[in-house]
Amino acid sequence: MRLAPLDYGIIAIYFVFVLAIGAVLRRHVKTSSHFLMSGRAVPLWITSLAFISANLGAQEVLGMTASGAKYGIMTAHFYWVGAIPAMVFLGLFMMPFYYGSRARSVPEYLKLRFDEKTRSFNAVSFAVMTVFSSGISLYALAILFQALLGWSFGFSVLMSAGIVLAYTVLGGLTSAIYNEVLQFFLIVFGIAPLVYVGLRHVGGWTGIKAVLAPQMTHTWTYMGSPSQNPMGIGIFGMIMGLGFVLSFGYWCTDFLVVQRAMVAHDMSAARRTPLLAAFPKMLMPFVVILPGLIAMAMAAHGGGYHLPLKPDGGVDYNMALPSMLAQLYPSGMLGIGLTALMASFMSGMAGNVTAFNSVFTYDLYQAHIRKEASDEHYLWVGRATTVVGILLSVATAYFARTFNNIMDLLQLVFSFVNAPLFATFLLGMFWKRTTGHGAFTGLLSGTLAAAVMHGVTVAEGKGGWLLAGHAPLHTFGATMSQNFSLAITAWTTCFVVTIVVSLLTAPKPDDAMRGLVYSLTERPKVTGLKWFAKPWVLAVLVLAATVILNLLFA
Amino acid sequence: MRRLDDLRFIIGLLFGILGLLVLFATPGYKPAVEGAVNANLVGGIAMTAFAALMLTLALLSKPEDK
Repeated sequence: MRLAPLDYGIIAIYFVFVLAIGAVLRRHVKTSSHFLMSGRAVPLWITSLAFISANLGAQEVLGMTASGAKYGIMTAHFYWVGAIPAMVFLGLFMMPFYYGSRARSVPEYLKLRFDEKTRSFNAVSFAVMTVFSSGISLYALAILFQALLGWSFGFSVLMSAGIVLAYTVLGGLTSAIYNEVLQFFLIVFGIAPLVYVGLRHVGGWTGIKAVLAPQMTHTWTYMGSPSQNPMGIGIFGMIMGLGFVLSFGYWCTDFLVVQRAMVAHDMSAARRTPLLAAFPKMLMPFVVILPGLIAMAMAAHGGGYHLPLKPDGGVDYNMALPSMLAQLYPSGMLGIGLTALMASFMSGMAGNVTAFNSVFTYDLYQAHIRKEASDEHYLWVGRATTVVGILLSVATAYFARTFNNIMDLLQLVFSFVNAPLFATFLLGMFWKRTTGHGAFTGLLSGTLAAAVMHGVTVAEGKGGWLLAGHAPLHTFGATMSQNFSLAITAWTTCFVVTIVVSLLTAPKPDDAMRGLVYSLTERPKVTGLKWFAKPWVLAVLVLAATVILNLLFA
Repeated sequence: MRRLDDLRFIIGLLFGILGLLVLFATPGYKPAVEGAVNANLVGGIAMTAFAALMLTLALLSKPEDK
């Protein structure tokens, strides 16, 4: 792929804007709350777009296009089943506790509701995971731009890290959130014209259906049995594994996304953040998944387009989107498309680093190292942690380059830690009898259950590390199916163990749990909003629109 | 200076510049695939129209709305 000076100019203009945002916002950062929590004063439309943008990193964009090419429109389940219902649940039922408790982070809610050890377990695993994810983002960016443009690995890593460092240290979380919104629009305007041009080229949706297998163009028709569809997943695994455990675990408990709603200017805005975000979210499959199907249709039509191949001759689905950009975009839009990918990588990294500095400062440093210090001190710690987070990300990127297998292993370990988390929050928020010992033991047991499940089952050659020569307990048709089952096992174990241990240990007094548990908290009153802006109305509209989309593509 | 704090103004300015750049580049860069629509025309028009909307919203807004 060769870029013209115009494309380089577009990338340079974007960098100037990104750095200018940090510089302009710097004068507003006067306290640690401004730096780490945006002073809890971000308007609703910005928190809503940042909420979905935080999950729209380039790996997500490239990965969804790849899955669209590999599995077809079924990939939309990750949005219509695996995101929207959880976002609605977060807005209606969970935000009142996160926001109403005045917790500054998700781990801090665990401290208020349970105890210090549960908070610390969550904070440490989250902090390590965010730095790791940020480094992986950086690594993926450098590898992609090395392959596409021939840029050196070191140049890509240091340039991106330097720019992210500059704007996050200057403007803190607000700067990261503003850039996430820019990134959202860049992705939309960088890829939507590709969809339009591509659809015209292959004869629209009818043209795609004419050349692809029917399993590729239906979401539910072939879900009756795992063997009928390319994902190898049945309805139970899809709804329980993806639609409940993984989806609710991610959208309702991951501080990286929940933080965007927690910095809204009031409770009403915090509740409506995920609900409003759900509207553009449900349309994202047409921007990030459809290009994958268009690529497959273009390859089937002939006419000069070939799917990118790996060195071993297999199809490299991850390169489907870049290859489409190269094929259908002339210089100009090519620069916009690449800037959108670069912006996604960088804002993904900034999102992780800003979540990391909040959790480190509030949940580790203030909780364990220095409890009573001046606000200037915590502001300084927040800024220093940002620098350390970026340096660790750079180190992780280089580490990933050398030890790719260890990175895969770490990613797997983090999935074990995350899988049971939603059971802890669900019980903590809706069953006042849940105790700190119950929550902590449940989390550990759920994590262990996920690890054991992975150790005794096999999918596509992965897992089975506990077998020592014995036959696997079960062989899954696809790793995705194994991941969903693993999540269900972890969640169920955590849920059961938490209940049992809670019943055997003493709960906190009711007074200590007001504002933290459903039965002890007054329902938030919704006043001053027009009928169509009320959370329940928004929730019904979102769910109805999602059902319609599911039916249209069933 | 107050406008620089308004994200709608920043977005409008960025996409206005990018949209016009891409739009004016349309005649100079032909689509790679023969017969395909020129993506610069499609993207340029979309980005410029979006920028105009964002700038209008920013200029009409009250300070507390930003």
